[in-house]
Amino acid sequence: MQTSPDKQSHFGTRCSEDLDCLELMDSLEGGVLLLDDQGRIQLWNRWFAELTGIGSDSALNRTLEQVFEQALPDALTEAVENACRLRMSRILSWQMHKKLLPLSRRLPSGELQPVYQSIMLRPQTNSDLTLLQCVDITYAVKREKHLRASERILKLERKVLELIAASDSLEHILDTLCSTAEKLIPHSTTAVFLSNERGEELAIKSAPSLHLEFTRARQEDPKLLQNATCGYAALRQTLAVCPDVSMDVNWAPWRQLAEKAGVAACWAMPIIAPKGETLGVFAVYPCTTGSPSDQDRQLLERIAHLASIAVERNRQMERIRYLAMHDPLTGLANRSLLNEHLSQAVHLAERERHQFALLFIDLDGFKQINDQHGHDAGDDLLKVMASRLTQQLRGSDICARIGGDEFVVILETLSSPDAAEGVARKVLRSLSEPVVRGALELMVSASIGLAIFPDDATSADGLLTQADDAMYKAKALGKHRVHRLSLQ
Amino acid sequence: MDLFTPDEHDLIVELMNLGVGRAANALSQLVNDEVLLSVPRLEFISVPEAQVAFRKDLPPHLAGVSQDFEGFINGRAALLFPEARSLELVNAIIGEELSADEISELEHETLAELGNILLNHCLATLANQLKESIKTDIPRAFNVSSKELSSELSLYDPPATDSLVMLVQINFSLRNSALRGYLAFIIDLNSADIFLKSLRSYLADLTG
Repeated sequence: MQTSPDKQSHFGTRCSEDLDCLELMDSLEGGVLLLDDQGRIQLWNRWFAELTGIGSDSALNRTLEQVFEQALPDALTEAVENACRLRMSRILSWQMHKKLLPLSRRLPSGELQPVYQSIMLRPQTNSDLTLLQCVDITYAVKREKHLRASERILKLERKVLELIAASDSLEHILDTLCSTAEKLIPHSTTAVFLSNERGEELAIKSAPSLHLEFTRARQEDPKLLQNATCGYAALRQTLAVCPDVSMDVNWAPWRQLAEKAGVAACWAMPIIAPKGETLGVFAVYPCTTGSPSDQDRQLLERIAHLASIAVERNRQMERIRYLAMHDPLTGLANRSLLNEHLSQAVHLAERERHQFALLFIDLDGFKQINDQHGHDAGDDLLKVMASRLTQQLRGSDICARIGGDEFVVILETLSSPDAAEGVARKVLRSLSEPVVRGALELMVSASIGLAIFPDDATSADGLLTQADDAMYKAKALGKHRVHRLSLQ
Repeated sequence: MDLFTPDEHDLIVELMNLGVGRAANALSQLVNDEVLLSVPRLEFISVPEAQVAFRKDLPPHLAGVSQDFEGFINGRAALLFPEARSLELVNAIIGEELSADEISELEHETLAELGNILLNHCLATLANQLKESIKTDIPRAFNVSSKELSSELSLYDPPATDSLVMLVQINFSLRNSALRGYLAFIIDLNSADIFLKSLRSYLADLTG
């Protein structure tokens, strides 16, 4: 090695006298090589010797290919040649070259771990030698990978929590969860299964990229699911892993479909509510066999947690919406929901050119029952009346309680006005039956106003007014009857 | 600056074009994806003129990779682009999705290699075609404000104003991003004579 002309200016006097360059190279934490213009090794420092087990005796004057006894990646070979022959310096970064020199290190566990590296090639100014410096960046890469994984999970959490906070639909939130998870666990499809209210069956709620036939098969036979990985996870409330579906007897019914859908394994994480009940399962279907890594497990846990927040929140929202639209005593629709249904009915009837009827029902004698027997008795009576009302109606008809003892019924799609009157009489009869409460027998009757779209009115408000007026007329005419104004 | 005749100017554009094409090809192979680099636009200007050009065209904060070279021409080559988009370039190259505040030592090194590949190809092609030799030094990635740029690019300390700047504007198209950057070759005027001589002899060979 030649000494650089300005060596004096770089070292103190002691250094320039005593410095042993070879010892210096050997004490470096990293690989240092000098190559001649033919790429033959002229210096092989201790770091390389220790890592490869190849002493400098066997390395010197040979090329890297000869020493490692294998072809090196093209990019490295080309860079070495350009540096040694053409004097072009070069950096080879890990991100662009995941494989450079075939170096590995044995871990305490006995596992052989590749050494992640970045390489710098620098032709020397005062000789035809080229310096090759190999930096071990294994820890930097691991740290970076870890940071990125955490960052991705954080981003996912933020995105989903924002959707939840914005009251986005549950379907959309779960779809987002699935499609983001598929980006984080590459080469896999995912699905969210939710249990029914009794917690007996699991049904697919979201599976944005799962094979359609596979999804359908699982939807058609939800009971069968109990035996498989997802069922196990839901039942035991623990991560269930089937590393190879082709080897698992529980997967026998779906083996062919799984193959067709590119499903090789199944990892199922239960979605558990804060109170402890199983809400569903988050399932990952990797297209290669295997078990989840620690990182995957962590991700599965976070996703299941997010899903649980979304499902719980959705249930609460549904409950709030239900309460806002229903009468708490009878469970019938309240005035708001009635108005919604009524305007829908008007639109539909206008479009389809059909008739529908509105019954305005006011109980006769209800006040006396309240006064004589107390409010509890009145409330019980109202509940019975509500259930009798619904029993007389078809599923498509709407029944609402809009005041103390006032009910409104929408009879959808009528064959004729007479049919509506028939139903009204039936309702009247059933409401006039006595109600047994302990030793008491409570009796009320009803005054019912009838209005028909479009004969009596063509707007929601108009119909309500007509029916209301008709009900008052029925009262005036002596109660316990059905009345329609236009038939006067 | 009329240092070069139109023929010589065209020749340099031609050679730069060849070098940029080779760099694009090398990058495409590395990342297994198409990397498009536009036909470069070339101008020769003085250092103060270059500063004006950078301030006009580039945002206040720049990212770059610089690399010294010596041989038949001496000087410093640099790849420059808006700092905020440097990570975008790295992301597009390595196919990652990171936000701008996540640039780490790994990205820094990748950026340095990216500049390294581009600049080496341009310089090597220039030297090779002119049958001259050139040696390049290790690349260095940097982030500077446009005010500090002149000292970053300067060959001398304090900065000399009579260096010649060969400014090459180049557009990158990668996957979903399109990005404009500059290649700047700051040539030591003391070595410009040899450069001129080799250009003339190349042209003489062509016409002769």
